[in-house]
Amino acid sequence: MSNSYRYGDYSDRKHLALISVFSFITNFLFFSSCYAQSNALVADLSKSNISINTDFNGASLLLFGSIAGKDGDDIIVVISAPPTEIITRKKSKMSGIWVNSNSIKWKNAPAFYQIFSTDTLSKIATRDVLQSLAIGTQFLNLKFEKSGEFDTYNYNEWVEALNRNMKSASLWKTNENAVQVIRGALFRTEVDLPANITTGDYEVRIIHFRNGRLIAEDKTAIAVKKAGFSAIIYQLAHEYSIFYGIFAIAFAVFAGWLAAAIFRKT
Amino acid sequence: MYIYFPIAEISLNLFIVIGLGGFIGFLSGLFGVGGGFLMTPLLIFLGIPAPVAVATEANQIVASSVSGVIAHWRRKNVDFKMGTVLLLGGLVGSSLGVLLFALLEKIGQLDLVIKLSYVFFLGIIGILMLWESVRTYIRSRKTEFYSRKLHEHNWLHGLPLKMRFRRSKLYISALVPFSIAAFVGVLSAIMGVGGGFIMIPAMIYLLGMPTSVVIGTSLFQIIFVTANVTLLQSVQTQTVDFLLAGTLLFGAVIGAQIGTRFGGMLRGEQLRGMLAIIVLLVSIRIGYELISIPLDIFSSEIVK
Repeated sequence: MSNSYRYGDYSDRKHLALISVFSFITNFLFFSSCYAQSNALVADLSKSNISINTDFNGASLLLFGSIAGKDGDDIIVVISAPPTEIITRKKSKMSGIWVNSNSIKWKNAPAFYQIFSTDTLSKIATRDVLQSLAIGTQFLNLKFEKSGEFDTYNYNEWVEALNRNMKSASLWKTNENAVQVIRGALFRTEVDLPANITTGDYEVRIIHFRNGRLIAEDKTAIAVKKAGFSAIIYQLAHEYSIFYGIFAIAFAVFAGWLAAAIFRKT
Repeated sequence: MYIYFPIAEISLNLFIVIGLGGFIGFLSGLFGVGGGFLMTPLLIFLGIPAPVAVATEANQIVASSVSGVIAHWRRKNVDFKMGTVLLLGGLVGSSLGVLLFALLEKIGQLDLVIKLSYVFFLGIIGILMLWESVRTYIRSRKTEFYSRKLHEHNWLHGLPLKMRFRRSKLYISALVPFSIAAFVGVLSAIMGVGGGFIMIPAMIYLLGMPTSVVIGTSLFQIIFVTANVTLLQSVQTQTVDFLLAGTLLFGAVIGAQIGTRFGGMLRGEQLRGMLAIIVLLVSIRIGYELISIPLDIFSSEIVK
């Protein structure tokens, strides 16, 4: 730096150099174990791009990696879709018929949230630790808007309903004992993505625990996209909707005419 | 073999979808009905979102009506003048229906209104048809179902804008067919049907049209009404699944041909009695859904 030559004398520069070298060495000595640890958790996916084409019927992939661990260590994997809006509706009986009465619009709920772990979550870490790491749908910090009359409004009832509905759609799930750790060094888990997943960049967090404490964490991502013919139809329908509509009508008229023409002779 | 339908965003067995198209096509060929009133509830039952089922079925009915009208056109069984008045009414009605559809979806009552419309209209039509065919059967008279003509003069004949419909042998106010078609158009847009099951009795009993031109003229106007619904839903809600409509159509075309052949073997009132029972069963099944305790009183839906 030419500026330092101009403003500082020789001894200042010498001190500065010494301090720099010293701090670098101490930094290395004290924190090298941390560098080693964070590097020690390395995870990868057998497939990081999921294409939803017309033959899509869910996808299976393998999440695997290595840890600098020992026997008894635990792994928690959290896969979540980007936050989106979900509407939860409640039915009530009105003059003999079940009618949607009130609803909540969740503003930032993930359309997919699955946890994979080596053991039951409560055995791996305490509730406070899980909360601080935001592991579990109860720690999603959901924001919402209400509509309809809420005389008997009960937040827990609605959150439970959301959990139950998403679980029955196989979108939210906790797969305990689904991660295998081999000799404290390698881990693997199979991830099944159902056919009703939505598109987006899914976040994958891999967290290494020992005696209830976080040891290391790594992140990766799964990109879920519509592809091929499926993507073309979707894109046309959304971006060129008038032409799509006209095309759909023209196709139907042609198909109807073709059917009449084919079966006329027979 | 599974196929992913990109707008419905659901993966379904290809053979089940073609089979469903074939089955409904068979019934429509057998009974001479469009089959939308059976197809739409079954699509919803398969897990296809109601808006996609209704809009996609409109697209499919365009094709089956084109295919059907060609045969009637060749036999000169289409009253184009009446058809034009009806289609104008139908365009107005179905456009209103699509707007109403979007409003109902927004306030979360679409499913309810679709189901109530099905229970109500299928219930009434089913009971009337069953009663008519049972009566015909008991009296063992070989009269045609639609032979009773209402040709007395009533207040409908006092309305202005009178027009002469040569093929239908009628001189009536254009407002009557226009309003009927507008009303059926609204239902068509909401229920995902062509509306023939209401239009045909209305044309015979309310307008007094000869039975020979009723089906052809009804099919003619259904093409335009369902095309209008297809276009408006494509623009407004993007719920027309072209791939799903095409797959259903493939089965329906083949099914209809087989159905038509079987239809020739059965007697008119037997066919109508069977159709009435199917219509009533659909009505009862949907009605049961409305009154039985839901598995979960809460439901969640991901907003696109």
